[in-house]
Amino acid sequence: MNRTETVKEHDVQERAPEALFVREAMDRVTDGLAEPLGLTARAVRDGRRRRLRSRVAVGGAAACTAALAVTGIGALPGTGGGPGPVGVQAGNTTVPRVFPTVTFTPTASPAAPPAPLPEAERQRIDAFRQATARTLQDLLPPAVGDIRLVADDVSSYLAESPLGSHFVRFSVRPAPGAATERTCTPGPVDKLGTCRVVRLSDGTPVAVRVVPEGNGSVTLTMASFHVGGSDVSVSVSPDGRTNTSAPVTADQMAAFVGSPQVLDLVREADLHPVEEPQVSHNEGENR
Amino acid sequence: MRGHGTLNFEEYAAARGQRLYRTAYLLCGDAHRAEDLAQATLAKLFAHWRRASRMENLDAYARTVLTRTFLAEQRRRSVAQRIGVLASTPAAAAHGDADLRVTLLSALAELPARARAMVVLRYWEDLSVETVADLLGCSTGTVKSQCSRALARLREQLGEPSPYASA
Repeated sequence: MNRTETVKEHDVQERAPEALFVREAMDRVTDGLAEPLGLTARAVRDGRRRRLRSRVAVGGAAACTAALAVTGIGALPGTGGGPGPVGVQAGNTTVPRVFPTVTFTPTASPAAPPAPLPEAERQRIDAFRQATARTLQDLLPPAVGDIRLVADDVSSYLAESPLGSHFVRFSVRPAPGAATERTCTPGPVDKLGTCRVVRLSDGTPVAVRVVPEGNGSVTLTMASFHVGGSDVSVSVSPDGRTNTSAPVTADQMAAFVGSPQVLDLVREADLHPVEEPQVSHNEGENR
Repeated sequence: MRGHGTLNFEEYAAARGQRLYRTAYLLCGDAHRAEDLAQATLAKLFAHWRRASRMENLDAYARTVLTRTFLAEQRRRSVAQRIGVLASTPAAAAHGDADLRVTLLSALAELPARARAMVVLRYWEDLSVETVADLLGCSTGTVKSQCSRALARLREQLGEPSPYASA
């Protein structure tokens, strides 16, 4: 059904006596409602409690990142600096934003836990993730909500808003020799979703997809491309709990991955990887 | 009212709280629950105000938060009612337009929660089929068919339009 038909039908329904009658009945029924006293004050109190609970829930990892920020390690190239490894920001009087870390109870895994990283490497990765969180927060649409880092998963972030929680993936994974071209596989939209290839300013092709998930009522938005020797994947998942699609359109995702801040982060992670190299099962190849 | 960085939460809540409360009342049919729903909605906005206030259409955002809060709460209540922890909510006490109030709220209460939300958003909030579908994460066809069925049931319950036509 095209838009004109839809609008016509909408107009017909609006004019239907039943619709007008119900609307008027609703008006009359709610007209006499007295305004709840102190609603705003109670909402502020409740809102403060929610904010506090949410901050407490993010766990102790925030303290570590705060310490990094205080020592100035949060300053990364890619958010204003030049290329190169993480450096110490000296003499800067602005307090850097620190994005808290949320910890999820790990599911049982047969794999052995990874060996702990040397302290300097851990700090470098934490600083990179803080810079990524800052970029996600600043450049994704406000509807995604507040960005947090997900503990123990270098490419995962959590975006939380009153409407739901969405996992955000920002992955720059070493994949030397992987395909650089990105194409869209034709197929039924209800199964594969929509896909188009856009180009970065240097001509790098990016596949931007909106993919149905679950029973198909919600969608994930993702972009994938190859830079230098790394495969890059950025995605925002739907919230299955509230049945909410990723609050990012394909256009918004394309604009996000094409922004200079994002490309600086990608180049930085390509030169100084924060993830393990691609494993051999071709996951994500030509996505 | 549109969201802007400078918009103050208290100003917004004072201007829009009553409207949210009225919508909540139609959704749940109970003044006390409606107050709790409106409060929870505003509290959620407050907790994320820095970002919420930058929304292009803050009213639409608040409405979405309210509707989803209602549906989530309704799911919890349904579970509680099934296991016998909670008695089902009776229709609101009558006052003012007493007959109409009781009849309308009873008729709305007979609808499943999502259908009720569709009717309230469509006919009270005056949203288009597409917007309601988007907000509730379903197809426009579902909204049309549910609204049509619900409207027929409401009309059956409320009787002929004429007795309630405005003076």
